[in-house]
Amino acid sequence: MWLPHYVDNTFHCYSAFSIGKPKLKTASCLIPLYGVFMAIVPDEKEVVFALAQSLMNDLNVQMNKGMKAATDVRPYAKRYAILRERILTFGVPNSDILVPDLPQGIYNSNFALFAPDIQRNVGFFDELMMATGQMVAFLSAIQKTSSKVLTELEEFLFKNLRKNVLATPSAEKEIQDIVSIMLNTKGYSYEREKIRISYSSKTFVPDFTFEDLNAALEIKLC
Amino acid sequence: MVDEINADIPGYSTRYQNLTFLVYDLGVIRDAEQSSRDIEKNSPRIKVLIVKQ
Repeated sequence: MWLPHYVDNTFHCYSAFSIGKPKLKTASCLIPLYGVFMAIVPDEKEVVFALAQSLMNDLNVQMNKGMKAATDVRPYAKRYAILRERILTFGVPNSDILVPDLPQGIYNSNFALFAPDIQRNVGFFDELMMATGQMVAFLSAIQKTSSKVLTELEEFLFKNLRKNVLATPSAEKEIQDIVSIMLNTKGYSYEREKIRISYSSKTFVPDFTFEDLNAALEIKLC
Repeated sequence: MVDEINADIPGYSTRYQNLTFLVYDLGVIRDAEQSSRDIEKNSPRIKVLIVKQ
């Protein structure tokens, strides 16, 4: 069977600079197809954001049904607590205040005992609704912030790299050193060649990694 | 350069969602925009910045 580009789940790439008929590259250029298109890891912040929105939707459904007084809030409170724990691992300053903990009474109370106490249950439900709304807003804000910071970082490097290179570089490392100084002057938090990624019998080491932005930066000299 | 970047993408994508490639070009790349587009079309989270000397 003749396949022009894809053979045995492998993507054959052609040099963008070759003139005339494209030449098929050899083994170094054979990339597993699923690697390019399917191995994108979902961002933890996006996952938590989606789960928080789902919790908010579920609470809204209960409220619209007029079930505030008759809803056992404990399963919802547990979902909230798990999401809050995951948010605190992001390391965003003041997240423990901005995403408040729920009163212990919600987790510990016996619904059967306090169910007749309509006022109390409605109070718990409202508190949970309010905290979940706050959580969704917080997650939305930090996602926008990450994306904005990354764009700013890219623009900063793109606009300023040339003027920081004083002599014609002969090795990639020279550019990496300059980029490192530029990142330090701006106060970006990063790791340089510390993260090792094992994939398909190879180990990849990105030049710079930014855990809080879920980003890797690779320098090339050509 | 394009081959090198394309070889890095699968590995890096397993850990990071946003990938930025900063290319310092000493005069090899003829059409920087086209080269960037060729790579960026794989994913909206991939960015290729080509700085010309």
